[in-house]
Amino acid sequence: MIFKNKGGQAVVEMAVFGSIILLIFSVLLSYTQRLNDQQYLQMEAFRRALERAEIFQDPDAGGGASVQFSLIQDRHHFGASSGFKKGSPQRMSASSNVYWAVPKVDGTKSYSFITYRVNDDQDEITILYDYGEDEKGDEKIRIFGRELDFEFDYDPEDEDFKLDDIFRTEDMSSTSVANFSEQIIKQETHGAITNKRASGLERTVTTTIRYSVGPEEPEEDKDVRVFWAPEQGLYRDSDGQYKYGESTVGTEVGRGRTWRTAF
Amino acid sequence: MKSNRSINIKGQSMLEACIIFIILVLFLAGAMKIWLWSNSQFVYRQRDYNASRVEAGTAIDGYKLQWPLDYTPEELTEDYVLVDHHF
Repeated sequence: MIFKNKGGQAVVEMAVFGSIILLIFSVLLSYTQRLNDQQYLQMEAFRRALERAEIFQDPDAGGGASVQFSLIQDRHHFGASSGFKKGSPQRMSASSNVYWAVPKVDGTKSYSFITYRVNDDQDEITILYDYGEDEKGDEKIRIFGRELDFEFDYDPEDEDFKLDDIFRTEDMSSTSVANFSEQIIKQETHGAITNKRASGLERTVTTTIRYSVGPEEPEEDKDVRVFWAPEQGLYRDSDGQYKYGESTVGTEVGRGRTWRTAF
Repeated sequence: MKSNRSINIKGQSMLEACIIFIILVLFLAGAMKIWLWSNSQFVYRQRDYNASRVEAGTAIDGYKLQWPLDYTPEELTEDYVLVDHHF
């Protein structure tokens, strides 16, 4: 009995400390992955904002624009408990503001864009300050984009004017639906054991981006509407990365492995 | 009085514990080295990102998006993890 207890001690130590080591390693990995993705997204958001501002040209407003760029991505993170599912998706976001414009000397304001890039797809709201005058001679501001088009009066001389008083972007939300199937086959013959493990993952994520017009207060008077709600499907890119796009809804990402042990 | 067999068994378990402890410390050190490697990549990537910022911020005809970054991570090798490496 004594012999059995002493012999088991080392095994128990290995099991306990081994689990702790694996736990520490998994915490370090997930921390690093989160940090990596955050840095990557911040870099990407700024570069894309620069590009959006630089390439815009309008003969009436001059070159360039003011861009408020929001980048949202669903990235699959390492998960020790998710097994063959290859991690769990984590929503990461970064934003960047760039004003890179050469406005006309007559004082015409440059265009402003509120741009959203959700995974692979992009859309934007355009704000045009100097949109002419109405019949009473008041200056107008036009805000337009996918299924929205508003015109408001505003006074360019009013230093207290804030766009937030008439138009705001609101909190976004997302929903996702996932189908995961896994198949484990074990074939035993007199000469070998063949194991096959395969899985299929289909995931669709819908992101709803909202805006509101009119007065911000009181809350019940706020007119909140949907600007864009892309439905995006999971796919595996050529570099092996898991990504989402509007054109890949319904795609099943398969994984599989077969190994054989011969006697 | 303890028998020689009992003393030997106790000694064996201590020996095993020592060996396992050393192995676990090596595993932990390896995990830390991998973690340090990944952290150092952030710095190198930021350096390359900064190196391309003039190009990204210069307005020219035919401007192109400076993304993704032209960056290749340093290779993670056995030597890096198991042998002493100066960061």
